[in-house]
Amino acid sequence: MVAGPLVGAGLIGPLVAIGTGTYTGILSISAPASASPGELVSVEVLVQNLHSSPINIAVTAEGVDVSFVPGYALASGYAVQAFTASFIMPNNDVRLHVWSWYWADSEWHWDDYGYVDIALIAAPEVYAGTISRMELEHDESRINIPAYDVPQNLRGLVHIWGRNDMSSNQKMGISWIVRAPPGYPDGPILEEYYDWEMFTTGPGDEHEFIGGRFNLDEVGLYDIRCGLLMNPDNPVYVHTYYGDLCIVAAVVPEAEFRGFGISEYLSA
Amino acid sequence: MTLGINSAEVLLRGIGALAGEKLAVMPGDVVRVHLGVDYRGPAIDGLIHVSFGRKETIWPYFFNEDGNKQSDTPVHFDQSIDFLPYVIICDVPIGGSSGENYDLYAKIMGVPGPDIESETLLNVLDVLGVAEFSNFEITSYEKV
Repeated sequence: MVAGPLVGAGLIGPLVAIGTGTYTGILSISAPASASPGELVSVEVLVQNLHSSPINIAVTAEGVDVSFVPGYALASGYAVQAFTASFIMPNNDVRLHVWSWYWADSEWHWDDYGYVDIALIAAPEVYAGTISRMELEHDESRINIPAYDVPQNLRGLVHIWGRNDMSSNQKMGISWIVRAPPGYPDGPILEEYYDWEMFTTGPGDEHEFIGGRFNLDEVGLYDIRCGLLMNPDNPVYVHTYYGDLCIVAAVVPEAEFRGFGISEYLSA
Repeated sequence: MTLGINSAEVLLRGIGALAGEKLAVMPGDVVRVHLGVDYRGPAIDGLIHVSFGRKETIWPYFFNEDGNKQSDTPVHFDQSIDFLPYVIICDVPIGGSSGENYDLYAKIMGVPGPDIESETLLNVLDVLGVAEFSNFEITSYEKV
């Protein structure tokens, strides 16, 4: 059972299926083959009066919420009448079911049927991820990056976590360059690291990347240029950190005195 | 207090003695003691304790402080990787009783590890008492 036109030459009521194409024929249903979500989709239905006398004809559709203009029309014998409608493309494919109707005996009669498919154009995937944590390991301890007052002459190891901010599993990659003092751009490169995780990371989950060890021999500012990657076939940076890795401070010896003594004294 | 006053300049302002020499003062005087030390390590604060007293002559050679001839002076040492020299000046008010041949020592307190003690200087201070006469005698007489 389908619903008849909302407006008509007379009373309109729900009808059961009857023979199609008795007095009207759907010649064409024009609509785009595909549309993006939110896009305005226009549809035109051409209906021919198959009878030699004028009759009132109308068009209805199901599949999306849509109404045709005009609501109905008096078509001359064998005349072709155009009905148009538009709707906002939902976030799924649409099969638009179209019925033509004619008015007789004080009621609308369902007469012909056709349909058209409008495919959803998927929005281009926007890769999204975050460098969620960065740590510098040294001397069997870890501190957040940027790290300060790091003792001199230790071995450093960078740990960086990437988080998948998408709703689908993603394979993430990482790239970073560590420079010794004075940092970027003049500091000598201590480490260049590039890697992709072997499998994928689920939505909202993190993956830890661990680089190689390097020396923290020089006192001063160390720099890191880091980027989180997605889409191995055509890598894109989804998040970057360009900044301080750490500041290495000279090792301060323990408090030590020498030569303490009284050199002179006088009556002030 | 970390001052670098030139020692000779200070000596010109009062009656001075180099380490080991004896100084004579009166009760109420102030003795300015110059100390030197080299320091390396983190920035720390400490206290210089300077005291006159008597060092025992038998083992374990305790230093018995007079209690009225001492001072505590705050001192700060900057962070340094290498040894840096410090000259520290401490004023010691001389109170209490008079006496002779006081000994002098100093120590750095409140720093990491045990106190740092100086060598004790022996017989370096006489504190004169009230009016005192000596060798009173008639040396001659004549008609005038």
